[in-house]
Amino acid sequence: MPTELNPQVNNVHLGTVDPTGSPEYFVFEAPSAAKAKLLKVSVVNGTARAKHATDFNTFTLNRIRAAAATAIGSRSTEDVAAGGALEDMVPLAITLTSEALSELNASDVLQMVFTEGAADLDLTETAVMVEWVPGTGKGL
Amino acid sequence: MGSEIAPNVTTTHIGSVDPTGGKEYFVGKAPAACRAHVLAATVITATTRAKHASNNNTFTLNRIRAAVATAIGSGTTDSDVATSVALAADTPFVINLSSAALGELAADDVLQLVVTEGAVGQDLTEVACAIEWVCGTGEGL
Repeated sequence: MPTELNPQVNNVHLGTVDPTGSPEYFVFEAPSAAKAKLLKVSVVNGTARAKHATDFNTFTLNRIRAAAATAIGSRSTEDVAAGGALEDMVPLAITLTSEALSELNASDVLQMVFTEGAADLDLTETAVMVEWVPGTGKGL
Repeated sequence: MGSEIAPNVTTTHIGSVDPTGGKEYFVGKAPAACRAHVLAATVITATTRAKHASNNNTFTLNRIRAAVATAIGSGTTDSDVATSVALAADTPFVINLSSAALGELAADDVLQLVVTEGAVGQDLTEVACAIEWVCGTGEGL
């Protein structure tokens, strides 16, 4: 586990998001001088969305390395065990897939993809907040 | 007062703002791993706005904790307010923090900027909000 001394927070304001067509947003880049360890990634917005079988949003976090996208986390408001309701003004944490995939190489980019289970599940005042620390905690 | 060793700056690009009805933007978050202390908050825009009794903008910084918003700072170009300051283009406009205590954030607190106007048409361009903060509270908490 990396040190959590002096964690950094990177905030990207996206505004209104219409998930039609699964829009993609770049939300972070690891420094070119060091690896980076993700601690937490959250989506905050001004729209409440209860868990639902069809009227749900899904957030997928991709790591982009050498132009190849790898999913490293996701969260949904779908009415399944891993789903979570989206509350107005409350950060919804993206579930990171693994410790290993949370370790970024220098210049890796993070991309957030928004999708929806049915039409018109727009989000408002959306922001993505990435918490991270330099290094991996392993002397790398 | 929190330690100012290794301050962090979180800058959020917002873009054009039409403050009609009061617009809200999420501009920062305390890490899940620790408390955080807000040292300063500024708004930067490409718009110049002189102090004026009605043609003014007000910026309110809210702390969101457990879905409840609490104002922790504000700044205005309203000339009826003693602390008002004109907004100069490309120059950081300081949001006055209410108190050191309210500047101390708990883990996972979110910061929200609310932009309002005294009369219609006080739009802003190329808006960004910069939050300067440090981990911890400087009190060993």
